[in-house]
Amino acid sequence: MRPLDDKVAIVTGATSGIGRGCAIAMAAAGAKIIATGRNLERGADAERRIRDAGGECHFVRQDVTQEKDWQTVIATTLKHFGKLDILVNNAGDALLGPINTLSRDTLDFLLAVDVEGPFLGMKYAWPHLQQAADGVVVNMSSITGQKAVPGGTAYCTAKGAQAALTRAAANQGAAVGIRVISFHPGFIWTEGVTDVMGDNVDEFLPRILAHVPFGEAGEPRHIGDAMVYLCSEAARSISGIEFNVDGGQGA
Amino acid sequence: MAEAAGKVWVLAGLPEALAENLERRLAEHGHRVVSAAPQTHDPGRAEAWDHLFASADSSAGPADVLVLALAAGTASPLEDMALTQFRHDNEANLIGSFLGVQAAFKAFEGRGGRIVTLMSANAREGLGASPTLAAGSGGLAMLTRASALEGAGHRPHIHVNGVLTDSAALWPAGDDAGSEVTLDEIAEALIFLGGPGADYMTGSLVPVGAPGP
Repeated sequence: MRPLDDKVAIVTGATSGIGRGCAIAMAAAGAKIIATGRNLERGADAERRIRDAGGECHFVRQDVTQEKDWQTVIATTLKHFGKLDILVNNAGDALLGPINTLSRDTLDFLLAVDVEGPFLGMKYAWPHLQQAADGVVVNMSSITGQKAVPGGTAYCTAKGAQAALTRAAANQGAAVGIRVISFHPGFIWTEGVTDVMGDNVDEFLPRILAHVPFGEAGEPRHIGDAMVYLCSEAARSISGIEFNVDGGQGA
Repeated sequence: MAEAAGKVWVLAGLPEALAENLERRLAEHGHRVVSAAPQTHDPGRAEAWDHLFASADSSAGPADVLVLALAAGTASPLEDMALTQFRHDNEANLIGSFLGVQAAFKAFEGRGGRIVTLMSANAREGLGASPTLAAGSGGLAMLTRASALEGAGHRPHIHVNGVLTDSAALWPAGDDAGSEVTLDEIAEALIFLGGPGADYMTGSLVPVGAPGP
C-alpha cells in the first residue's frame, strides 16, 4: 500500500519546477493527478513524465486567476476520477525590485496569482474536499512568506497574505474535516531559476547561497517527498501549520 | 515517500508507549533501535549520553539518528511550585536536551546524522498548568533551531528538526487526558524527519495536532 493510493489530487503550476516535482512524487506514491498550467506544450511533457512515474495523469490548461478555469479544472477532475481528495495550490510567480520602481500592475499581478489563485482554488474545491475522508489543501508559499528579502515588498506581501489566508482556511476546515497547510520552500534549483538569472548565475548564486545554512540549493524531489508525507494519512493531525523545507533558512 | 532502511536510531526520553510504537515501526522498516533505559539513563550527566552512543555503536553500529524527547514537566500552578522543583525539571529538560544534542554532534561528526526533538505545544502556547513543561519546550524549540544552524555547516550535514505536539498525547494523565492526536501520527512524523524525505530540512518545527505559528 502506497501512501497516496486511491487519492485524487489537483496540482497547479505542475508543468515545471516544484509543481512538477510534487506531481511526480505524488503519482509515484499512488495518487491520480490533474496537472494544470498555462503552457500546453510543457503541460503535455509534464503529463508524460508523471505517467512515466507510474501514475495516472491528465493535463488541463489553466490560468489560476480565472474563475471559469477553476470550474473547468474541477469538472475535469470529477469527470476523470469521480472525486477530489487533495488540492496543491502551487502556481505562483515572483517579481522583485525596489519599491519605488514597482508598478501597480506588478502588485496586482502578484496578488492575483499568489493570493486570489489559492483563494479561488479552495473556494471551488471546498465542497468536494468536504466529501473526502481526509481532504487536504497545501498552499505553496515561500520562505519569503516568513522572512523579508531585498526587493520583496510586493512579493513578500503576496506570500504573507497567502500564509494568513491558509491559517484562516485551516480554521474553517477544522470543522468539516479539511486540512490546510502552508508550505514554505527555501531556495530550490529549478529551470525557473536559470530562466531568471540567465548568464548571471555565477554572480547571483553565491550571494543567494550565503543565506542558506546548508550552503546548497534544494531540489524539487525534496519538496515532493515532503508533499507526499503531508498529504498522506500519516499526517492527518497536521493542519494550520507552516511547513519549511528550506535548508535551514527559517531556523 | 523516500525510504532508507538499515539505519541505527537512538531513542531517549520518550514516553514508554510512544517508544514501543516507534520501535515497532522502525523495526518494520528494517532499522536497528537502541533505547535509553529510563531507570538508568540520567540525561543531566554528559557521561550518560556518551555511554548511550557507545552502547549503540557496540550493539548496533554507529548511530544515524537521535530522537530526543522532553521529560514531562510537573503539573502545578506557578505560585505553588518551589524553585527546587523548577530546577529539578529544568535539569532533565533543558540541560539534558543540551547534553544529548552535544553528544549526538560528537557521534555524527564527519559522517552526518539526524536529530529529531519532541516537545510539547507549550513551546508556543501557554497551555495547561506546568511552568516547567512550558520552559522546557520553549528551550528545546530554540535549541533545535540554533543547533540546526550549527549542524548545517557540517559536511555531511547534521540535520536537526523537531515535532511539537499535544502534551496530553505524550503524557495522558489527569485533566489533560483525551488528546485527539495518536501515537501513530507522532511516530510517523518522527520517522519522516529522521529519514531521507527530510533531506533538505533542518531547523524546522513541525506541529502535529498542535497549533501552528
